[in-house]
Amino acid sequence: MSGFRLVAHGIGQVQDLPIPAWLFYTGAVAVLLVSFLLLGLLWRRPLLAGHELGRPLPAGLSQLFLGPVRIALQTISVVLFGIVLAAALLGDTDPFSNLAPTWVYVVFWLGLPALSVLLGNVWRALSPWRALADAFVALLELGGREAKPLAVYPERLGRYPAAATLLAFVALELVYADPSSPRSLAFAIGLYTYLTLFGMAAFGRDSWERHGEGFAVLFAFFARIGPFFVKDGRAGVRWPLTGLAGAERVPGSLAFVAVMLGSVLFDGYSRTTTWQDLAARVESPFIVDQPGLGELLVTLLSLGGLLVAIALVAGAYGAACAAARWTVNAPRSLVPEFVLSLVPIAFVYVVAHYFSLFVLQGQFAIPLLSDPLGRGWDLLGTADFVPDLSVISPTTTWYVQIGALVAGHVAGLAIAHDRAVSVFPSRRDATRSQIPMLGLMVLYTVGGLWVLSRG
Amino acid sequence: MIGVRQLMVILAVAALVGLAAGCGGDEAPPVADDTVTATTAPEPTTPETTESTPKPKPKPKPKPTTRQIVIVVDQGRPRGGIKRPTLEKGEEVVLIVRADVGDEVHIHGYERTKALTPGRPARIPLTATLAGRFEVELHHPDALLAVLEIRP
Repeated sequence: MSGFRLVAHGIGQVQDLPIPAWLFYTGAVAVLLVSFLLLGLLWRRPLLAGHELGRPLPAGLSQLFLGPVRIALQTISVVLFGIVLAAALLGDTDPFSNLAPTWVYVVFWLGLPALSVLLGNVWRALSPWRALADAFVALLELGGREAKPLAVYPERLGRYPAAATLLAFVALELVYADPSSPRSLAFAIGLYTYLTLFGMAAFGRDSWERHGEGFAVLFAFFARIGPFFVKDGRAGVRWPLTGLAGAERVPGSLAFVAVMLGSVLFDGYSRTTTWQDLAARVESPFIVDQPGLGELLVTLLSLGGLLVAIALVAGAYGAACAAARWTVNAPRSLVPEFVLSLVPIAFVYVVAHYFSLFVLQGQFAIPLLSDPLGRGWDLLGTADFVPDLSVISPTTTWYVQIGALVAGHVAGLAIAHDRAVSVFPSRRDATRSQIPMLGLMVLYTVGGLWVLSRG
Repeated sequence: MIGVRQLMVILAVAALVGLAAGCGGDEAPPVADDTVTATTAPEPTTPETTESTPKPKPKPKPKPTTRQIVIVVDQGRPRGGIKRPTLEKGEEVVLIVRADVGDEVHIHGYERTKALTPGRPARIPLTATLAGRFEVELHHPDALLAVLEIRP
């Protein structure tokens, strides 16, 4: 593939058609209607808060999943990690003959969010780094030595390290000129492995996964949307969204969520006519004589675009919280109170933008698993599988996009409202504080729709 | 961005030329060369300068059904900006790419590549079987030439 980053989102061949105008307006009107409907149905006592502990699963089942099943998955995950790293390092340099790009950008990056929502925080069992660290600790303990972190994590740093690692990954995917190059990926994987194992050794496995490991923090956020959870070594089931009730006071949570939302927004915007033409205008004077300079300029432009998108998301949320605080004369900032209401919106952004990429490009993993290095092998007998790129029609994609965005909007509103009635003793304050939040959600949802509708 | 009028002009000329020059599925570089030369003839309406001189050589081999999408690349830049033709699913078109640099044209999704010789037009017949947006890219140097928008 090329150095020109117009194939955004890391890897991919087919891009969605823009949502037609009539569907955009239908979606936007649906968002407004749903919003006012919800306003009319406001509940007075928190419905979500207090239910996040649901009920425990039967003890045997819980032990099965958290014990043998987890260890089996961790083993598989380390083996797969080895294969993907070997492919990135030694395999064919054509991204489409190499398992690593499709695996990292499609199977892992788009599959794990969906798995996390459906099955809970599966990254705990699927993270190869955690598995390696667990194995290391188990070996140490077998040898009679105790594994102790070297330092105590400075809590005031909160999730900023995770926001930084997530930003680094989305920049690799969306900004770097050749994201699907297997060798670049090998370098990135190596670097991140080093960082993660270092972080776990320094601050402890759980602490680093809560604060510094971007993927672990991301998938843990997504898992809180869904029904399955683990608390104190016991698996349980709860109503969806109840895991997002409550405030999130860990510093850096807003920065993290803004990276989640902003990166998807930028990815969408970078596929529009406007952005493509802008990038081409910046690069074209240098294409023939100084392609390196042209590429560098477009990379800088994209980095700027990504950072602006993240800043816009965070700024809009900050403004809405400030407006809500001013409306009800709240004594403290409301930023930590409502930040979790953005998590479902971030998830549906992923669904809306990447559903078709996952279904279409994901099929390429089937033949590539048989021939991960592009050497003509047929390990699993699937090397001849031919992906069907017409398996979903553009119309299906459009409906999935609209449906996902509207559903995420409803979920976000519900969580924010539930928080408001927990925080504010007076019903009037609770309602009034939600007017800016409603505006914010409409902005995010209609903005997301608008990006998808731009040709 | 390409104007609608500009596109119409190009398409009209392309259709005329297709009528005149014919466009069988086989490789016929000399014929195709004429095609592009003739197609670029009315380009003075665009701000770019064009080095090609109009020398229409009508060859009456009528085959009007196949639409031609003509992309001329100057210094790695598609003339008139990134082209965004809209196709109906199932439509048959011929992409004609003439570039002064680059060694390959690549249609994403359809995974069609065609070797290029600078200054010589390359013909890529395409049946739009997949709906979606597909990038047409020049390789070495890399540049986006067009985005085919194929409607279901």
